[in-house]
Amino acid sequence: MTIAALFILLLVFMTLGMPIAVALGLSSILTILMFAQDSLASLTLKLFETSELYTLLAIPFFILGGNFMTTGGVARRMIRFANACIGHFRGGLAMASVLACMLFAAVSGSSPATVVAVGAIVIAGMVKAGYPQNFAAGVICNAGTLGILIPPSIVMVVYGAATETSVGKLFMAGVIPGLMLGLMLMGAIYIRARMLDLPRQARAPLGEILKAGRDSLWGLLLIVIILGGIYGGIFTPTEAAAVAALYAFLIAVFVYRDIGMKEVPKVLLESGKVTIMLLFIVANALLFAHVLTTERIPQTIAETIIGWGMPAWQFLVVVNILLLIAGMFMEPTGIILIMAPILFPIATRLGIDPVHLGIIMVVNLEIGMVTPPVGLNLFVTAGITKMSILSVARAALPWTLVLLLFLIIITYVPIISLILPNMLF
Amino acid sequence: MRWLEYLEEGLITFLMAAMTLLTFTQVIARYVFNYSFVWALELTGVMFAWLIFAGMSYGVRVGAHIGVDAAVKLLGNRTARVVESFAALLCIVYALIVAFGSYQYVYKIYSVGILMQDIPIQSWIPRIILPLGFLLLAFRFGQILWRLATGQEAHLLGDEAKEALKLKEEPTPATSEVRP
Repeated sequence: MTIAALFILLLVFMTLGMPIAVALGLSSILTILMFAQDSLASLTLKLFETSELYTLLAIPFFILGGNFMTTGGVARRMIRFANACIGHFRGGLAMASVLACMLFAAVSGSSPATVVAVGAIVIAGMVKAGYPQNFAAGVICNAGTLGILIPPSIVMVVYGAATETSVGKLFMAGVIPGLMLGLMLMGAIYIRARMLDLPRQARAPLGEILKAGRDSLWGLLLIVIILGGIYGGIFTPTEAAAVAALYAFLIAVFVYRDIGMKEVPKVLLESGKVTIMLLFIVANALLFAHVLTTERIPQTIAETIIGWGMPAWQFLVVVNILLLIAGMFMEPTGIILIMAPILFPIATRLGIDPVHLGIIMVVNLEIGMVTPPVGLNLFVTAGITKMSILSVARAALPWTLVLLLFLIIITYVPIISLILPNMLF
Repeated sequence: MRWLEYLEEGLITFLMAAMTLLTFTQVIARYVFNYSFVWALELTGVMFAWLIFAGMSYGVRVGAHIGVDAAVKLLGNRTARVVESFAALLCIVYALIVAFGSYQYVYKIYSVGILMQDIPIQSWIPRIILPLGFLLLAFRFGQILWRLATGQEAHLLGDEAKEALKLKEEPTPATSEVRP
C-alpha cells in the first residue's frame, strides 16, 4: 500500500509539471503522514541534514569551478589543441571535436555546457569544411554526454552521496570508460568519414601542437589537481573541488583573462542558482529515501527479486531498460536520486560493485540526454544549430547506437570501470 | 520588493564566495601551517544550509527549478494553465506544510536551548532559515499562482536548455586567442 501510494503520488505530481524537488518532497510527506508515525518536525530535520552532508558540499564548488572554465575562450583553446593533434586524419575535424569535448568535459563537468561551448564553434567549422550538418550536429550532441562520465562529474557526487560510495573511487572509475567512449566515437567517425569521403586537414607542425598544448595546459591542470589531489590523499573530493574552484577563478581572471573581475559576482550568483536547484532536489530526495528505508521498500523489492532467483546479468538488463526509459523523460540527477536508493541494495545483494553500478547508471543517463522526448543535449544542439529537435534526434541516432554498444560493454565487463579505482585505492 | 531581490542575490553571491574561500583556507592552513580551525566545518555547513533554504524561493522567482513538462506541453493553452495552477497550488501546500513542521522543530530546540557543536551560539539561530525560507517559498509559489490565475505569463519550471544556450550569446573577447 505504502509503496503504491508513494510512487503514484510522485508520478502524478511530476506529470502535473511540479518541480521535481517539490514532487519528491510532497509525495514523501503525504505518504508519511498517511502511513507512518514520524512527526512533521522530524521530517523537516531530515531536510536540514542535507546541509550537513560534507560530500554534497563538493557540488557548489565543482559548479563554480566549471562556470569559470565554461567560456568560449577555454573551449577555443581545447579545440585548437585537439585539431593540431588529430586533425590530419580523414574526418579529423570531427574526431578533434570529440577530443575537444573530452577535454572540455574534464574542466566543465557538465554535458549541456560542453555541447554549447564546443559545439557552437566546431559545428559551424565542420559545415564550412564540407561536412554534412547532420553529421556534425549528431557527433557533438553525443560527444557532449561525456561531460557526466569524465570526472569531475556532479552526477557522480550525487550518486556517491545517495549511496555512501566513495566519490574519489567513482571519479577514478569514470576515467577509462570516458577515454574508451571517446575512442569508440572517433573510430565510428573514421569509418563513416571514409564512406562519405570527408576531408582531412594538413598535418599541424610540431610547434603548433606544442604551442596549442601549452595554451590549454592551464585549463587541463584543473583535472590534474582534482584527480591527483584525491588520489594522492591530499584532499577529500570536497576540498579538491574548493581548490579547483579557486584555481579556475585565478586562471580565468588572471591568466586567460576571459572573465573580468567585474563579472565574477555574476558567475558566483549563476553558480549559486544551479547549486540551489540541485540541492533543493537532493534535500527532498533524501526525504524520499528516508520513506523508502523506513518502509523497507528496497529490501522488499530485493527479497522478491532474489526470491525469483534472478541472476545478476538479468538484473542488469532490467536496470538498463528501466534507466533508459527513465532517461527519456527526466534529467540525470533526479533519476539517480530516485533510483539509486532502490537499485543499490538489490545490486549489493547480487554482488555487483557499487562503483560499477554507479558507472552503469551514469552511462545510461548519458544516453538519456540524447533520446527524445526529453533530452537536454538534443534541445541544446537544436538551439545552437537552429535545426528542429526532431532532425537533431535523427542526426544523433547513429552515434547513440555507439553509446548503446558502449553501455553493453560497460555493463558486462566490470573490469573497465573497476581496474583504476581498485589499483589506486 | 526590489530590496528583497537585492538581498537574495547579494546573500547567494556572498555565501558562494565565503564557502569556497573558507574551505580553501582550511586546506591551506592544514597543509602549510599545520593548523585547523575546529569551527570552519560547522560554519561552512551553516552557510550551505542558508544557501539552499534561503535560495530555493529565489530559484522559483528566476525559474531555476526543473521538472517534467512533457505532458503539460501536450495540452491546449487553457487546459495547461489550469493544470499549472493546480500544480502551483500543490507547491504552496508543500511549502506551508514544511514551514509549519520546521517551525515546530525550531521552536522545540529553542525551548530546550541546545548549543551548536563548535560555535558558541544557540543552535536554533542558524536553523531559523528553515521556517523563514519555506514561508518565502510559499509566497513565491503564490505569486506564480496569482499570475497564472490572472492570465499573465508565468511558469513553475525553468528551461534548462535555454539556460545552457546563454553561454553562446556571451560575446567572447576577440583577443583571447593571441594571449599565451
